[in-house]
Amino acid sequence: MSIDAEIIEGFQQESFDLLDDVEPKLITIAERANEDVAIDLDEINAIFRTFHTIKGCAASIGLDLLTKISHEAESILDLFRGNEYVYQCEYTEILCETTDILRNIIEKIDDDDYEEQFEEASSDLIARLKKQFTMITSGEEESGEKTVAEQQAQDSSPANEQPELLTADRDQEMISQFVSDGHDFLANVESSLISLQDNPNQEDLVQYAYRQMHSFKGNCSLMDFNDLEKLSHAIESTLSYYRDEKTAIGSESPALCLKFIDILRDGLRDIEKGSMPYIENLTILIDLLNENMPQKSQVNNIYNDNPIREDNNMQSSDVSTVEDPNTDTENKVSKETVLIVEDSMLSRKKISSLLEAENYKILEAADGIEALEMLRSNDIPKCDLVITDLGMPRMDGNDLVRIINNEFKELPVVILSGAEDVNIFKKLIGHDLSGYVSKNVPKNELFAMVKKAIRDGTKRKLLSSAFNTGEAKESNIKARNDIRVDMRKLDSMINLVGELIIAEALVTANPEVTKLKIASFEKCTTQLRGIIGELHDVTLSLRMVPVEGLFKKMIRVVHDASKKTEKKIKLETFGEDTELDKLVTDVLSDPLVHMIRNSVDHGIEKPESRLKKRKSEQGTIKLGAEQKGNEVTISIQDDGGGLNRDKILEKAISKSLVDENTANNMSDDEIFQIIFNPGFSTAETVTDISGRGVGMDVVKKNIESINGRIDIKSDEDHGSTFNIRIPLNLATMEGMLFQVGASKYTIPISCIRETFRLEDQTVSIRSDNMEYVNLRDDILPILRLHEIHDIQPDSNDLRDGILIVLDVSDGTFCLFVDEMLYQMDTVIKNFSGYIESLPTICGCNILGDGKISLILNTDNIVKMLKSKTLQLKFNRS
Amino acid sequence: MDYESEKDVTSDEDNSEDRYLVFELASQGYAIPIRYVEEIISHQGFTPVPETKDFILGALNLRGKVIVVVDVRQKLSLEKREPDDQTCIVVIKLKDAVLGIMVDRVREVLDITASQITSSMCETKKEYVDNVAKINDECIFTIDLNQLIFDENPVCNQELEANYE
Repeated sequence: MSIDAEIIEGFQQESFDLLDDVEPKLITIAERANEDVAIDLDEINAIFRTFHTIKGCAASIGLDLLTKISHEAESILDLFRGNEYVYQCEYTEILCETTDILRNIIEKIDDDDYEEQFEEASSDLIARLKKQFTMITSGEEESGEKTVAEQQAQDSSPANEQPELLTADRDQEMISQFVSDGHDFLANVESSLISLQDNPNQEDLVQYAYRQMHSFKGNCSLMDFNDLEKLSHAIESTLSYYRDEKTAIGSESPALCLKFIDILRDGLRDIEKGSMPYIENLTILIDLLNENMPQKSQVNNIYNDNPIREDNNMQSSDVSTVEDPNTDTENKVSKETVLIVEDSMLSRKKISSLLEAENYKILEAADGIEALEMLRSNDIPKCDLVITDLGMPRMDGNDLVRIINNEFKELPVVILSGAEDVNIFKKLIGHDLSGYVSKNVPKNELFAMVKKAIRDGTKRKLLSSAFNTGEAKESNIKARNDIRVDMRKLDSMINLVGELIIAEALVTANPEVTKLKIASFEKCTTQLRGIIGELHDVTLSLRMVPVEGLFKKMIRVVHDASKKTEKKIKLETFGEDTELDKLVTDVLSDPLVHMIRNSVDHGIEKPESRLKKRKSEQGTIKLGAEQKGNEVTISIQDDGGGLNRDKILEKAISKSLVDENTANNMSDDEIFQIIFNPGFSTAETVTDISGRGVGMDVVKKNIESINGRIDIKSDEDHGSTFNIRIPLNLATMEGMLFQVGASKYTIPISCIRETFRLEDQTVSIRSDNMEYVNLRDDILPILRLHEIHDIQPDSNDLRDGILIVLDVSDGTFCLFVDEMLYQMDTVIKNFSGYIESLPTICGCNILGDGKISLILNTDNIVKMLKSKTLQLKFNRS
Repeated sequence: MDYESEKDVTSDEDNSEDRYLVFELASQGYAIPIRYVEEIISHQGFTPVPETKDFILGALNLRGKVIVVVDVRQKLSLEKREPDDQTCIVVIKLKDAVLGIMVDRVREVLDITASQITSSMCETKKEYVDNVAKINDECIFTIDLNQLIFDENPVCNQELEANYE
């Protein structure tokens, strides 16, 4: 997969997640607005950020259309982040529409002509978003709601003004998402940079690193991690320089960038720990990067190397970067330590008092020797700057500078001199000096000098450590708790584990080996089986996802449908953390949408009729998931009118789906199941939501495709409940193997109630040749499997074989077979696509000896038995 | 692994458009496009699959995969014949289905060019035969595999099937 395709796929995935996430939030705030409850600014911020992220990501991979649309949405939301405007529930409509269009476009970005496809829709939307924006900004002033806005703002503004703490407005999920994405981005940049060091001319790598860095930056700004954002901006600029200039990247810049990536990582770790990331010496770092770029004057913060500016204005350009209030060193409590070396007590004290007033820690030395002693000593705090006079007894400034340059390579030195004697400076040529100040220098200039020199020193330290690659960094990276894996890889792994189980059975049940009865072998195979079983469990759990995402989608469905039908409906969900196979959740999505819409449209009554029935005006739909044993039940419960049993029957009879005679004997559940017939609908009017009678049959088909089934309970005027029951495990089951003639069959152990040999139980034969056995006063039909499948059994006599009592959802029956074999865990196999489904067989499995056994579809057998579609070939001679 | 095999298929398709696997049924040569052929295995026992049409011989275990085997003789209305040591099962992949077809004998892989395709000068054209190629004075029928395999639902009891749809 090329890098680009990978980026786009990642973008699609991420955007869908974000959009799925944002819709419920939009609806929540609309509800709040509707109820005149103050909207939590956190919510608005979260929504704003989502659009912002999409915009940022889209921009970084050049998807202009998406960028434009999300930008408009973002600007609207931005209005409500302040205290001027109040969010109205109408806005949710257009924003939901925006998410729809974004989703559609994102789905299609693989198409070359996606922009054309959506040109019309998107330009229309953008225009409307803009209109909305102006409407909000111009119209709101008079609406008199401003007071509310102000009040609300007062409530929530304190939270906004304390960015130092990670407040609730960055909810935990977003943070962990940010951190894990951030680690990804940084790792990508890092690996690109490393390869760049070897092959400096690879433009696409630079491009890739640039994009990744850009995305990271975008995320940082979204989360308001300013320091991280600034630093990543600087890295990005460096990368963009190389990208645009097509200059081969030097070796220094990548090394520096790598160093900075480590710093960014530290920042991410801080965030993980819950503190605001803070980068020390941020401006210096940024300058350092800019300085390292070959001669690019356009870069904003480029550092002017002129040691002393003659103008007194402290805001002059060369130091302007320092003035950022957040990073200004003056704000910090602990200051750098300055060593002043000067023989004249007076001028020493003068400077030191000046600097002390500026919060620097001051050390004083009377001459070079004393200064060196202090520098070399461990007791004295580490020095960040040396200011030295030139003419001193014992060791003069000149020598001192030379020694310092050798011994403390990173320590900056500023020369302090009374006489501006050119000759003195000539002596100093070749020394590494950070600056020079005159003894009667103005105060401001001195400070600027000191500040600059200290930054100089910090840079040097960083540079030396950036190139000090041998020093392994202490790694305390907290293990990430998720990775994205291609579904295909997972599937092939699951298949392989399935085959492993078969292979294991082939080996351990090998007849030649088992004949030998080796105890140690048995012991080993037991252990092997245990491990494989565990592996199998783990593998299957990999595909399990919580139904939360599925349920979140339904919030939107309810919202849209209730809007259209003008009903007031509340959706309550429970059991969101119940896990289902990813495949199952995918299949379930459409049926759920259908059933929820049905509940809204047909189930819940109009507010007026609800009031008449003395129910609250607002209807409730409860959507829940629950795991029971080997089954998950998804229930959709509404408190509406319930299903009309008589109406369904009437309609069914008129459509001749059932005849009147059977109708009288039908149970409620059987009647309700009629609604799943294709084309069946009792709705008098067809709405654009439902009522056409398509849908429910599709619902049933989809659910049956995952071996699930739907139970319906309904209580007139109190509502109805649809329970979708899905077997937890699609691919494996615990089965019982038995034999009829030469054929081997498996049935799920869960549906076996008991097995028995016919002894003194009475068997009666009905006129249609069906046999019934009286088992402890339970009259159960007997099905001879050999008659269903037309095979030759070992014996036709019921007394020779075994009767298995099977309990399935629709009834109980006895299956007559020749012999029970053994119980085992099996992997359900299909017939490789050619035969999709058989009436009474739902698949097959491979036995220990490589032979195939067929798995009976007991549910269907009962159904067919009841509907008399089961064709039996009687041979009881 | 998957990607590679996909690639292989496409590249195969380009230059093996005219390559055919030739097999024999009742001494007559038949050919199928080689791109559908996954592998050829020797004849082995089947597990009968109930509720399927007669042309389904049964299912077999192909290294952990269960495939269904089609009796081509029956589909072409040829007499039944007991398998012998030359009987082979050609595993083919059509659309998303993997299945086997049982043939009397596998002969060779041939390039059949357009010039070798003749109008029906040998025998009458059969239902599943889409072309006749004349190779070394022998008529070889090329089989329309899609037609052969998918023209008829292999599952018995269509009425029931309809109920489930």
